[in-house]
Amino acid sequence: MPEYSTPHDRTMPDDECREVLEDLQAFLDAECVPDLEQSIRIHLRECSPCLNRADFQVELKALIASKCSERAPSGLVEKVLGSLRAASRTSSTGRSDLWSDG
Amino acid sequence: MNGGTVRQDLTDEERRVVFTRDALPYLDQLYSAALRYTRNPADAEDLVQEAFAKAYSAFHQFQPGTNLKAWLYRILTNTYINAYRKEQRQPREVSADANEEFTLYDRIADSTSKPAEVEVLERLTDDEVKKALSDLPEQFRIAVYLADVEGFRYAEIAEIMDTPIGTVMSRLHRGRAALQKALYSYASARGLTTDPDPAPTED
Repeated sequence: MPEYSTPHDRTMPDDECREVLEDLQAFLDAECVPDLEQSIRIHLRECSPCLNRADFQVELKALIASKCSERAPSGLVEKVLGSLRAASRTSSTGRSDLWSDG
Repeated sequence: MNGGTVRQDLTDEERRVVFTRDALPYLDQLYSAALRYTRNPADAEDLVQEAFAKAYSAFHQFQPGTNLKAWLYRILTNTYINAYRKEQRQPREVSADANEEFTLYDRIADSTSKPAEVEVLERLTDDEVKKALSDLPEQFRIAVYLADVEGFRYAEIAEIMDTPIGTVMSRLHRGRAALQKALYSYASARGLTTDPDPAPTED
């Protein structure tokens, strides 16, 4: 496997950057096929503008994840457990079909 | 879904114990999602309770060894969408807009004198980030939430939202662009950028 030890600022051809940026979201979501992933990885090692952009997207994803996670209010777990107990008592008949659209 | 699982042989009491042990640990996560979906704590609680009740009554259909979290999210998401459709009649499937390619990075990079892109992100408040996500149209909001907060794979999101993977990717792409546009408008309203030309607002 080739190793590009030092990132440097050589100017990349615009179309190569464009191609990388088109697939950047899928790359950062770890959804690229291995060949594409490898070629984007190599490009990012060599192209600091694209790397900065990728870093920013990673930060943005992390920001959304950290700000949008909540804890359930106290009391909700008891409500859910209560409804499960109630359902247990009456569940011998009539299972609802989850997958229907109705 | 096909049955034939050991869970059909459980007594009601055993089933409740297994369900409580396996599914209830996802309560916080499902509540987070419900709050982002409904944008309202009272509705979020109702949605979570309804989803857990449905999941419990369908638990015999769950295949042990498959992804319980994704299964629960599918139930939550279906329950939300069905309730939403009843209330709103038509779900909004938002059409592509001209600003689809908006990137926060470029806007910040163009509007600050130093390389401060990530600093701008760090100065956004919790409420601004939550609002930017909550204000996305339904289908985008769900896709972005599932990908960026929950870290689901595209294939799992496709399953949860009952839609092809290509649609998931398109919703993610457009949802993230719209979210970045909203964040940019908050940042620029608070003077975190020096952009003389604020991001266009949604109509």
